[in-house]
Amino acid sequence: MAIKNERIGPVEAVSLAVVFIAAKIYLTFPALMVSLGLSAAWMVVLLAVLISLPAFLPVAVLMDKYPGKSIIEIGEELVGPYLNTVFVLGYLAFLLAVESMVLRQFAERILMVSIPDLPISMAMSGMVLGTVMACFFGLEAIARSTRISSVFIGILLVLVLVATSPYWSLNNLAPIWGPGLAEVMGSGIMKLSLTSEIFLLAIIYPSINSKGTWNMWKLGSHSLIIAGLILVTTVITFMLTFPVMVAREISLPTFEMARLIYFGPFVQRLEPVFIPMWALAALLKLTIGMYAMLSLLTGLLKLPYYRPLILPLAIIIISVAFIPPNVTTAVMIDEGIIRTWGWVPTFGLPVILLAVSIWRRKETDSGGKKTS
Amino acid sequence: MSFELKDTTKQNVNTGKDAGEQRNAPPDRAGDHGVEVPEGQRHPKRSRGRSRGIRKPVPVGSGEGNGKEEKKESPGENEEPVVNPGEQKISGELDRDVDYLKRVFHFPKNKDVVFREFSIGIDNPVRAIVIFIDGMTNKAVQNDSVLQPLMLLSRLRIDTSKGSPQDMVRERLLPGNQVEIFGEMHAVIDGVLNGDTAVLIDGAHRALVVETKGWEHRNVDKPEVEMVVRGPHEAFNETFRVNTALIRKGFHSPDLVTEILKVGNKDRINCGIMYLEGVVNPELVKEAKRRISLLETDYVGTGGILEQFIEDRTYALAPQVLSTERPDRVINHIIEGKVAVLAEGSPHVLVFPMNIFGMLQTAEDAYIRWPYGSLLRMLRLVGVFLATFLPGIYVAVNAYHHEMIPTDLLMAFAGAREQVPFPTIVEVLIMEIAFELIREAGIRIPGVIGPTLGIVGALILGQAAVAAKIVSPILIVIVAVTAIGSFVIPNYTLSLSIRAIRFVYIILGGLWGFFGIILGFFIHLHHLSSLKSFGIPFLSPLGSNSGGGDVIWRKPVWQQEERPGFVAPLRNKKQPPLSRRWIKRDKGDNLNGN
Amino acid sequence: MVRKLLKLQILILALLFIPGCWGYQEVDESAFILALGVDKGRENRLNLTAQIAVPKNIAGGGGEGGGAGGGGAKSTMIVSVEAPTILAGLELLGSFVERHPSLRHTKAIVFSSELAREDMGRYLAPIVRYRQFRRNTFILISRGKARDLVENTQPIMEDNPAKYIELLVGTSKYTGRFPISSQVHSFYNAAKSQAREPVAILAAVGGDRQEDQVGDDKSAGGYLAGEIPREGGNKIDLMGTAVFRGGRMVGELTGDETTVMEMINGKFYEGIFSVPDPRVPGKYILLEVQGERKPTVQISLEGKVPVIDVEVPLDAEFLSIQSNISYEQPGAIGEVEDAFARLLQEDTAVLIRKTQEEFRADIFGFGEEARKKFLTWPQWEQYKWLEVFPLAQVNVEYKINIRRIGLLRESSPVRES
Repeated sequence: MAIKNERIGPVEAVSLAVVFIAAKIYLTFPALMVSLGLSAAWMVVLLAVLISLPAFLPVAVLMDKYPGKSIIEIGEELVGPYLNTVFVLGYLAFLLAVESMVLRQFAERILMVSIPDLPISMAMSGMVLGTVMACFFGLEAIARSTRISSVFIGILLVLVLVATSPYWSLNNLAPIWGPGLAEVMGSGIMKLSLTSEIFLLAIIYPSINSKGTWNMWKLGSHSLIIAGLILVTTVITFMLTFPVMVAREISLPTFEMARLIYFGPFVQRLEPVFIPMWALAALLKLTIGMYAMLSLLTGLLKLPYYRPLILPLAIIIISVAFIPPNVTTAVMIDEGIIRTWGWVPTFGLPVILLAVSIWRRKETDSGGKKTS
Repeated sequence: MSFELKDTTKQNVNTGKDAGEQRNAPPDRAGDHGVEVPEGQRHPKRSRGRSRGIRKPVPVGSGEGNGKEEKKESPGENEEPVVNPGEQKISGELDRDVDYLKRVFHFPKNKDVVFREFSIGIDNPVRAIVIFIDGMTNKAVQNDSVLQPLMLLSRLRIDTSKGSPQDMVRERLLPGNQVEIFGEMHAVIDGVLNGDTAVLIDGAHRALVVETKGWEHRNVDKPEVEMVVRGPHEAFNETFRVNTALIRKGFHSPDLVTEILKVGNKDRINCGIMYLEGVVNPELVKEAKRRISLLETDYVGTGGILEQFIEDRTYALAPQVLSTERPDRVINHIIEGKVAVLAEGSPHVLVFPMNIFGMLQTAEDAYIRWPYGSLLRMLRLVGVFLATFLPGIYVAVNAYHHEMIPTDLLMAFAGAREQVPFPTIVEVLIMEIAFELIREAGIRIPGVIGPTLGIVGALILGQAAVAAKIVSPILIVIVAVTAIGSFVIPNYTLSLSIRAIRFVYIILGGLWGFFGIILGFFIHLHHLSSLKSFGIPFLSPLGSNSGGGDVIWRKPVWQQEERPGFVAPLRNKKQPPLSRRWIKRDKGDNLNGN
Repeated sequence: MVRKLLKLQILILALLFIPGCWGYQEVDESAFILALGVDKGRENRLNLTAQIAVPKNIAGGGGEGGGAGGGGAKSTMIVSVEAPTILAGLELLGSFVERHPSLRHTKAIVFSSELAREDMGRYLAPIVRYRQFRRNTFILISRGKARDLVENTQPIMEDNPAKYIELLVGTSKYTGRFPISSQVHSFYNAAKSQAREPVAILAAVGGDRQEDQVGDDKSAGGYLAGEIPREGGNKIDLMGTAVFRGGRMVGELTGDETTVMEMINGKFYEGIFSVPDPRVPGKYILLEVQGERKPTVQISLEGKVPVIDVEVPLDAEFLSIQSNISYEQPGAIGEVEDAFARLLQEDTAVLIRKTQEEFRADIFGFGEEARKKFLTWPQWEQYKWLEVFPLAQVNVEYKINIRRIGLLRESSPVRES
């Protein structure tokens, strides 16, 4: 558990979760979706988001049963320290995978488009350095910066999406069902893990100053809906701009969209203006992820504060990030493994915990005493 | 609108450390604990003399017991050991007391202090002595209100049978408008040092201190750095009482409270805290008093140094208290529920808690009509942005992001650069440093032409540099725009910090292009987000609180009903929802209501 | 504690800077290629011609020797290499061009029609992967050698050839005689699509061609690039379209046909047409036509062949009536509208015939409309629209509305003396 004194408001928590989930639009995500769902890619995303809402429900119920506790403490109470360690390691594994793959991809991509000659190690160290220093400032600073930046990022995103409208063609969305209705449904369900970063809320729930009106479900559902909206809108706009065959080839969809903007001889070549948007989103996602991992670690190891862990964790993340030999493998890991199986630790384990909790409660209720 | 003044345990440490550091050399990072503040002395509970407040005199003599006052920094005190005045009481024997005081003031070496002995003119003449510091007292008042009545007119009034001599004297003879009676030596000494006149009477266990302050000071003048077009043109000056009066006359309310504290070890200057009782959060006042009274240092000369002593984080890149020389701004902030600190000898008043937007506002925004204030503020934001990022972006674009510039402009850049021998980052650094030099020099050029000459000189210098093909002409434009952008920042300290940070961004832009600038911005943003100014986040109300309709976009004056939430005032509303009651017309009128 | 670690990190960071910075390239260390020409090579597969900007002449040379032509400093430098691929050619430039070639500001890429007929897609499509290459570069197909075209991009009115190219390509907005969207983006999208075929602008070096048939009343757009009877000015003509099937060029369209194509595509903005006067042969009525709304396309896939109905709404304005007959009257306006529609139908018939029989390419994008009728992608792929299209029955109807009449409200004849 992190520093106990830190408190953030519900709006800030929602913005943290939204940025954490939605930052993937700046990677290859839209193109991968088009590969999967062809002209119905947006439906796949929409489906995944919609399914994640009921998938999140057990998490919300679980957290609300034990207010003020983080998922580690709850797990410990319910299943005992040893099994809980396994659970926490599962969460950690998920987060570590996400962090390092995101780091690797962002470093490779963003520097590929803006500063091609920078060695990859410099790029990654630079990003990690920024992340480390931001983590030092604490959760409140992170939350506040996220809230401020998310407005800025949001505006730029809307600009990019709207400014490509001269190239839009609604016909790109035909045929409607893409590869076929059944396939679309299947892919949508499979891609549930797209939003599994919502698990962040379970980790930082104790630090959220909710004042009663914002319970976990409200926080989570708001975040999921907003993030889902961003994901779906980006994919739709991407598909409107590029026909299916072309879209699935593209490495960096949002970059290419920004590049296309052309309103005459002066208003063109605007993509460096959007680099801040990507870089900020990437850095924020990395920072939030790192903070989440630190929270888990200090909770697991019962440490009073987390700051000494920042540097070692950073080194671990960089090392893992270097494991894939090239960026395609990194994307494959991200897409294939994380996004297919990521729901297991983030949605599955809390279900188990909830089941245990209900079973326990039934037991103690029948025993006449109420232990909580 | 919740507000928590966090227990500033963390900041506490810094305050102690900073005070310790300030003691010796100039602030030296390498030696965090260069000065050994004696353990247990970190936060001694010392009273700093009695307050002169109208309402709340702090009881005198409280908190004694730290006779182990650090007298080690007293070079030249190799005569008699001086007794700690904190404990000395007035004995009643005039000679003994006078001797003691002469020793304390290093009389007769110290020619500033005057001991004027005389006799009170009654039937049994009583010896008395008047002590004051030459130059700090108003001689006319002294002669008229102290010496003359005691020496000449006493015969008419005194009746020693009723009550103690000093009471008699005070009640009947001394027409000064502030006369106080004290029994301890340190009060007498403090009074004399403040410019009052102390009267010791033979046989009396108490001394009288008459208010006779009057020293040469500047008149109330126009503001030096905060000019407005429409609005009052008065500024604070160096005299404490003049400043408090300027604030008081702008806001007539008995709830406006001034508490006076004394700061410092050897130089115990007056320091006044003003706030609006009933509106301000009492935690805030408590914290302010706590920080000021727990300072241990020799010299807290002016407001600037005081600011550095009480701010939350010294190493932060932005100031955390507002320092202004306009009474109207201070009044506005006090009404909103903030606290103002006036220091003797400083024409700048500190206001806190402050957020970054407060630093970007000027008094004028309030005095001009509705949209213009907001537009001017946005303009200032653009100026801040330009001043910080423009040179960095120029370097980044020239070095890495050629595709960003339209082709025409690119050709112009490239053509201009053909003849310049330096890479972009070097020429930017050269020009920026040269410009800073000129600016600094411009402050010292005498007369009115100083700043103007600075800017013009800079541009001419730039022109010459272009002709000599040292820099490209586009760069001159960039540097000039950057400088102008930094001039629109109303707060001097903030503009200094922006000027410093600009160089970091230039280097980051040169190394890593846009990405470097964003990285720097990311860290900078987090740093600012974590700053707190007296318990409120520095970036309020961007975080979660309400700003009261006056942050960037100003609502019309009659719509600003709430005080900013982040100050956590006790009373939120300062205007009812309908403040322009003239809008409602009676039923008989059928003109268009306006 | 926080500060100490911060200091440590800054130290580490500073150490990492010791090797220097990477990729720092000043603007005056790059050779900006403004136009790239690709030809078939003699010794190697491709002949690349690059027009490299000379910034100091563009920037500073405005005052001196601009119009003198001969003695003045040239604003660009033309170089050519032979190489197996485009990017290899760029690298080869490094041997004799002292600056690092950069495609970041390439405004136009020109392929010779010879090369285009072979297989342009092979060279163009993969280059999209290259970071410096932008998808809104214009594609021009040169009827002669691309090299000639690039060499002759010497603007007279502008300092900057890039601006010249952009402006020149932009004139299609108000003439409509060559395709409007001929950027790599649209070409590439169409080349990979199964619903339409790509087109590109046709260009050639012209200006001193002698017109073979003298005195023939040819409409102003009835030429291909390079055949326009003109003299003086810039050397390059843009007129007409190059039609592709996939990545291979299969034919050319004249300016008029291009205009009609754009109308059907819905990309026609405005243009001036000379309509033969219905009552007085030999005289013309000039109309300024604007494509206000998009055409509606209806496709029916029911029968053996698809039936495509297109309705193109156009707004027009009288510019001049040579015969001075009062066509502004409501009754007479209809005559002009019909005459104009007939004129357009002639060109349309030629166009449809060409695209269906000669080229067998659906350059109108009807396929995208047709695709809406399918529910799943595999179904669409099976239908193979591009093969079916040549058999389709295409009916185009023009709805012309002459709305405004200019400054004269009625015409009266000029006295014949």
